[in-house]
Amino acid sequence: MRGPSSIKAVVLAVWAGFFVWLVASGEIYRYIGPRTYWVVVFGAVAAAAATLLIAITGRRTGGGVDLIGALAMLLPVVIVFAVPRPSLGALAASHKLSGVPITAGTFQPAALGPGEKVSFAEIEYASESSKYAATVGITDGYPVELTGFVTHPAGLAAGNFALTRFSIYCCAADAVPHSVTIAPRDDKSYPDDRWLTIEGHLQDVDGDYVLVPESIRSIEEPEDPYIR
Amino acid sequence: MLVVLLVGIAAVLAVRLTSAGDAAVTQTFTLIFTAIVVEALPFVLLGALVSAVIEVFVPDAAFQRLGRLPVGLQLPIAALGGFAFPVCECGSVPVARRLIRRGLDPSAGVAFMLASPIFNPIVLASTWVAYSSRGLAWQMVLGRGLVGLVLAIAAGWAIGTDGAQALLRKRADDEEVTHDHGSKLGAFAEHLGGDFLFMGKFLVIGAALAAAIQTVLPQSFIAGVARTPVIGSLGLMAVAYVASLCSEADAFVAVSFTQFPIGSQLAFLVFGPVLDFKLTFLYSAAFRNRFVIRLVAVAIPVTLAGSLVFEALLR
Repeated sequence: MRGPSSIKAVVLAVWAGFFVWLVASGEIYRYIGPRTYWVVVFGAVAAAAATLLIAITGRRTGGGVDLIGALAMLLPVVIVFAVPRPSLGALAASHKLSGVPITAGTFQPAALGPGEKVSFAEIEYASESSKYAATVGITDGYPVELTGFVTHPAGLAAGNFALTRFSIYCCAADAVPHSVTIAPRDDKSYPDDRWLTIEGHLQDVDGDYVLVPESIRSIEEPEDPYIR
Repeated sequence: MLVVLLVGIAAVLAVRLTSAGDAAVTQTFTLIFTAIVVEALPFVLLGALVSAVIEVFVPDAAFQRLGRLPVGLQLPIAALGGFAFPVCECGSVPVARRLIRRGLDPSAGVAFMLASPIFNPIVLASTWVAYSSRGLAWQMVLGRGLVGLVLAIAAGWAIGTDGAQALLRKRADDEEVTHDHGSKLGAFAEHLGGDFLFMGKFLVIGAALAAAIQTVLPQSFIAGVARTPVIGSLGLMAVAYVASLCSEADAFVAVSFTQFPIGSQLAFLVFGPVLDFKLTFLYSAAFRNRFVIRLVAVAIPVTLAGSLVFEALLR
């Protein structure tokens, strides 16, 4: 295999290996939504096949190669190993335009299935649409348990904070934050990005549902940080 | 390659030892940057694969026959051809470049490239699903498909008239590989590897810029203009440019922009797959510099007009 072919083969092999590592380690779900999981599997197979093809045929053919380009292609892999297990937190949530996907009156509510629990999105929707709240059965005093990270969006009452979690569709670039306001009974404060599990009940405050905690536990970031 | 390996290891150690990776800015950038590249790169590889097949295995006669068709016929056929090539925008760029190189009229090649990320069954289906919750599924699918097709045909007609020589950026390996066919399989492998590396580096640069801007710039900077249809549409086109989302997912983000008029959301869905940060760099890899400028000159007014008509029809 000549120089240019070997560089192409190395870049493709690194990406094939990286794709395989993403799948094998489970880290794939940090970056990619379940609906596009197949893209990475396809990438691994195609990159491995292309590597083999270039390695086998590379002796007979030449072609130029851009070394700077090849190095740029390896940059994402280096960055991932330099910053392991990155996550979206309060900073990313504060930069998103909206976490409320549906406006009141346009949403066509679906009842929760057996065993399904009320989560961030349902509480957000319920605050937007009383019709949806009635369909799901969310009322004042409804018991819930939520796991998310702490954020402090502007406009909250003093002492309150928000518990936030992202949902993603294709990849982390399209992440949408979902937040529920927490109204604690004590004045203990929590820093941004601290992961908490909160058990409590919902309280209707002028049509907006806030969570009044009965217990707050600090936890490590879950393996799957997103709402599925 | 040993030097590269050592530099890479040094960079990893430096970031880990200094805890620079713990900063929220670093974490957000890393996650968004990597996610965009990981999701898009397999499509670049698929595009490179199809491109290599076209270059090596499709006979010249096929392209000569296509090239002899009137441009007025090639343009809409090529734009509708996106329906049969359901990949994201990253995959269609190398394919369009190769089609034009092999003799397809440049107008038709550009129309195909711009239409395929919008007018493809997966993207239209995801648009349907996203807007079903708002009872606007078929309106949004029709609006997106039609405005996308009009934009692709208009841009192809306006940009492709100069001919292939003036449109395509020449690459060092274009001729070298073509004239060095040890075997068809060898030529195929070289074209595949060459296209992947060439387009991939621009994807990496575009993704890095998109991630950097998403990390430092709050989207709320345009929220104040949300209620005005014209400014709202221009604002969401700017968001689409910066966000660099995959066209298969962008409808789920667009539907969350509830403070913007529905026409502005359509502008986001039509403009994003045609022009964004990562695409700007991919286009720069495939086409000469003024391609992007001319595309901007066509895409903004056509998308804006389409979004306003759509808004008026739905009122």
